[in-house]
Amino acid sequence: MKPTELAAAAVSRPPTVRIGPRTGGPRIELRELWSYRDLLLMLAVRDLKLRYRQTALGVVWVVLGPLLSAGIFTFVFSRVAKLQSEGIPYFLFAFSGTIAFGVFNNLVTRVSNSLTGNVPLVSKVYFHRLVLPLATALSTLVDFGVGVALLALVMVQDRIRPGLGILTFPLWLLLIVAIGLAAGLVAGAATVRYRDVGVVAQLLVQMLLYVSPVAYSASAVPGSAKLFFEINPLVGALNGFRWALFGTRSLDVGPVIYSVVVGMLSLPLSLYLFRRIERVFADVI
Amino acid sequence: MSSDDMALRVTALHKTYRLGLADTHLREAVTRRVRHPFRARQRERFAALDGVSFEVPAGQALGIIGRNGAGKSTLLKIISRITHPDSGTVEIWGRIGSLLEVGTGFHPELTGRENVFLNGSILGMRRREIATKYDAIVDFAGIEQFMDTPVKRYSSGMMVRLAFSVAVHLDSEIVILDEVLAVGDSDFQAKCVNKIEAITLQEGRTALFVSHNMTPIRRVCERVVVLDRGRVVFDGSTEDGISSYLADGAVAGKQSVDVQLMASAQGDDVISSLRAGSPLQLRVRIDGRNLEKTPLVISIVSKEGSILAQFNSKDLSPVQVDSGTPSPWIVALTVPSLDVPGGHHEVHVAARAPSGRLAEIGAPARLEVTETPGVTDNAGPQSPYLREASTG
Repeated sequence: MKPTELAAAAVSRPPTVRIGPRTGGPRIELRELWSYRDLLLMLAVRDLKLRYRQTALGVVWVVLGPLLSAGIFTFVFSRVAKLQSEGIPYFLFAFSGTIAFGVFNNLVTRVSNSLTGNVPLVSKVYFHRLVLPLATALSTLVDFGVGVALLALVMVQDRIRPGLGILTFPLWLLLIVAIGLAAGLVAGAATVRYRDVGVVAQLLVQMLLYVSPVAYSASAVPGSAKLFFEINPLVGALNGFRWALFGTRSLDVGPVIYSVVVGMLSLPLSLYLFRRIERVFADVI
Repeated sequence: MSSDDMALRVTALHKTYRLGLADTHLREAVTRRVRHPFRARQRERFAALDGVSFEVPAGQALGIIGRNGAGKSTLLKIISRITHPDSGTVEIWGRIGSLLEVGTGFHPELTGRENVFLNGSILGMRRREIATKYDAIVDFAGIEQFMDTPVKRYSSGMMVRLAFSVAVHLDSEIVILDEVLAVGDSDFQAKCVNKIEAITLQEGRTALFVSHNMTPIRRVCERVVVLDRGRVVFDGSTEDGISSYLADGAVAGKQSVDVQLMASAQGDDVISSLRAGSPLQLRVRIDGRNLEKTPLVISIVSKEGSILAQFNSKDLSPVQVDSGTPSPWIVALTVPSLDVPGGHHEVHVAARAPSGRLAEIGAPARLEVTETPGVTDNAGPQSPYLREASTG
């Protein structure tokens, strides 16, 4: 081979991986993330197995939480405070809200712990770091599925049929997931550095429950407080979620648009932040 | 070298860590910022890697040796993409399989089978790939009947065998092996060394092998890189590299070292084989050093690298022998009865430096031990220590 040919051969075989100092902005690297889909699935399955194994009632625990809160809400808000529930049985109203809010709650708390709960993995093995929070999110969706199945049973029992609005159901779920995942990712990345962020996030989510239309209808909020109430991006998403299920009340468009905008902006932003902070995970975790 | 036959190229790698605790709670970070708003926090810096460069052609088994803190782990962490360098580059041709810590991601609540699949995918295997290799993995670990038992009920030995087994079945072109032989009983260690030899010699894969144990390095690696305080201080043949690394020990310095084995205190016949249970006399000479006062540790090491027996010089009634100039200091140590199993072993001598650190001195002497007929069987370790370890 002539030297020129040799050089050409050398050029034709670039390294598979080139590792250098961190420069430039972070990239999401979706193609690489896709190559880790098996791992993502395995980790999600691991989360589920660990959650359901060695518990006598297993899957029952997943729905017991929402059922109990819905029961308590029914007592407090329906029997004692006599709140309106958009024309459907109050228990169903509260249970649907609890399940929808539960996805958000679980996403934020579990995703924010997904890195610090897997320190050996992060500090010993390389893989696309988004795999961990995404696997956690996936396993959370399975819990949600169980909740929805139970919700469907209650609806059949109460003889309540969803209208055509049910077709939009995946969109509302997607919206709640986007907002919850975004919050969880940012909190999770920050928790790697400062452990107390996880606690703060959990506290905020608990408080958010009371300013979201979970146990009461958004229509029950007086006009003077409405603007303040609607700062919470979950309002639009939760209203839409119920609208898709029951279609009882006409949907307020304003909060929905606001919620969609927040979801569409916050998810990419949180991915960017996560990838940015992620570069030092192994050094500081 | 063109990149055609290259597996790995490391160029001018630097990595500095800040010493001391980082703020791990918001309160600390906030109060510090409030008190000293304009002052960046001053912390001592430590150069873990200070300009490391080397190349590994495809198919070579490279040993990386160096003391604790020499930068080996940081180097491997960068190569396996866990952390980034401050400057410099690493180029890799092919898929890399990293065994930084055997059993990473093993979960105690999951069964052996579940952990094989989980661990395999953590190490970068596809599910189908693991499924096709599952039988080979289980077979290598030798724990078929426990695969549906949660790993938390395993003995630590069983867990390590399973974890190692998953890792060596990775199909990557480049394998990183970091102290993987510090696990399992001597039988399993022997199996591991054979497997590593197969990976590098027969399968022709590139291997980076890190160990503090020189015996497997000698067996497997054709070349070594010696790291010291973040720099490459040697890059060349395995024997020269190990000698340079050992000679660099605090005790030996650049002095010449000699270890001789004799059958008894009488006579001057140097031996290389011995019957198990017979006495053994060692003569150690280091130029210009009074070894009578230097504590020595003598280890009989098997071919696989496990320590079969160990003695302290002060228990062996050291006698100083004046061999005259130019090498006046010889110390003779007598082991009354050498109770080790038969086989081709090595006798390692280490000296305790004033700092307290134990440094191996000289090249190990080879010693063939033959079994006394009728007294011992021909397989397995015989020392009570190893019996216990192998059942654990």
